Amino acid sequence: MREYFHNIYMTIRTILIGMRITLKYCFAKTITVQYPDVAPALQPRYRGFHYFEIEKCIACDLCAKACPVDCIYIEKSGARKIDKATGIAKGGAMTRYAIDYAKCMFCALCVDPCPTDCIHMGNVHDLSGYTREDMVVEFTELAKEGLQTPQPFWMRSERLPDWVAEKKQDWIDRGVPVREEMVRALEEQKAAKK
Amino acid sequence: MDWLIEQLKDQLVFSVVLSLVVFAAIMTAVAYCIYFERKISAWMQDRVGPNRVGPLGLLQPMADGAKFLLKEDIIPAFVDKPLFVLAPAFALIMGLAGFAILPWGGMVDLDGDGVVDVMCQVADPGVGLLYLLAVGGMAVYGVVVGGWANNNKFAFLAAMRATAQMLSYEIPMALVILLVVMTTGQLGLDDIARSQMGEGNLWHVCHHPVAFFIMLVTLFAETNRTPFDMAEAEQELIGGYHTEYSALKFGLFFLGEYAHMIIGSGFVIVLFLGGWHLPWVSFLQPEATSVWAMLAKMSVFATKIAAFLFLFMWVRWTLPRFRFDQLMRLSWKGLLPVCLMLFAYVTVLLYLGRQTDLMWTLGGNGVLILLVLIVAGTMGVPVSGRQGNLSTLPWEGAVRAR
Repeated sequence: MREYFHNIYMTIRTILIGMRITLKYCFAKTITVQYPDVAPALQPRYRGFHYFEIEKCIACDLCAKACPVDCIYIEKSGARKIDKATGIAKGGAMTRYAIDYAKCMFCALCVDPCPTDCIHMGNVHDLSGYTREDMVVEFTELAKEGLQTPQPFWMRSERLPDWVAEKKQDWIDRGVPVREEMVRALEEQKAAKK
Repeated sequence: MDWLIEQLKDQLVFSVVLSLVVFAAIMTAVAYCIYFERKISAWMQDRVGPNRVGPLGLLQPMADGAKFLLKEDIIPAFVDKPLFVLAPAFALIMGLAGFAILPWGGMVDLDGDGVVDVMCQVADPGVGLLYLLAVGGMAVYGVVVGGWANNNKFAFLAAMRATAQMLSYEIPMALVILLVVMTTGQLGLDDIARSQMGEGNLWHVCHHPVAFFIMLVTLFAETNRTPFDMAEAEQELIGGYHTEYSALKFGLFFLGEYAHMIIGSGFVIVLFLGGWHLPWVSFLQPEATSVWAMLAKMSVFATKIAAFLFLFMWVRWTLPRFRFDQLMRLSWKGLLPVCLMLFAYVTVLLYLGRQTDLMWTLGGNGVLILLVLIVAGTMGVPVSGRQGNLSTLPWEGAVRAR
């Protein structure tokens, strides 16, 4: 008897508790970040798609060797060396520098061994594509456009939220001054004299 | 303008205009019901909900509608074609048919000469409640025919469940409606609404709280809403009776469901919550017959319906579904006996002429609840919920002595 009424009491009570909780949440403010409209809160050391300074790269292959999943592909036409006066690499041409993001696991192990400090983890995190081949980012192709990091499709449109425009401006500010050097890295040059 | 008013003074013309207005309003409301269902579920789950189409996502219903129209309308190979096509239409038409007799705003004096010209109601057949019961009974057809014509086992199961459920809950609902009919002696919906207004009259919910609660429960069951959504039970039956439907046909089922909710809440409001009436507000009394009073009454009625719709959604996104045997037990072992006892008590009150005496009616309800608790407690029969032969739940600690 006592248990019976206890059950009835518990039924009503738990229903009311549940209703109260949902009502409370119904009028509570959601904390969802409206991502494309609002900037995501990325940490300063966030490991996004790479940021690659091709003009400093000497194609030493150390990053590719460090890569645990072998997703970095480097090809060059000859030895490259840093010109100490300008800090820019010269010598053979960078014929290919590509990262397969279908494999990459963003461990940042490629960043540490780089002797010229030319590869960094960037702040882009939403690259997309229609095929598996789209996942391979050719940084040598990007260099021709003066870009140092891949650009998501949606960020290429004209109408963009303010924070994206700022981010793009940041890329331009970093890429444009060295654009000529970046393009030159794709061609064979005389190595700097010692 | 004068010419228009002159025309509108004819009840037939007024009814046609009103039905057009109401139909447009209801269809919009139904579309926005879907929007608010999604919004409220999102808010309750700490999400944002649809907000990409138009400001605050308010154009989402249009986008949904366009999608329903443009998607491929698949008719599977082994369906019963005529019934397959008819079922969604049934569901929506039966949902909409009930709107004909909802009393939206009482008597109206259109030109202000002190003579009542028209009733703000599409049709007032005098036996409105019988019409309501008939249309409500037909509503099950949409679900059953849809599930049957599908030739899909899950849809068929859903249709069977829906039939059993709707038939079982129709009986307590009819009995509860009968209580109201007995106390008022009226069958027309506007008469019932007006019997709750004026000097010394109270809303029926004050006289029959238990009946109101039962009506609410049966309403949830009749509209196939959680916790009684056995016919749709996504987790068990894929999509339920509309599993095989696509495009506009599926959309019609959707609209039908929400039309049902709106009309069901409208009837509960008319029967128990005074329709368009609010106490102590002068322009919401039956004596106020101006056009502005009519509009005020209509908006009050719509607000009450909106509150009910919120309740529907609130419950849906909070409570889990009944098991089917629990559902049946609740209707046949719980609601039906209580309804019959209430019925018997109201007949006694009628004989004594005390049917509007608050002390007698409320006292009867209190005694009834007490009686039910005592009987059920001594028998120990679970009317619904957990069965007695199950072990105690882990968080309730040690097994209590019985």
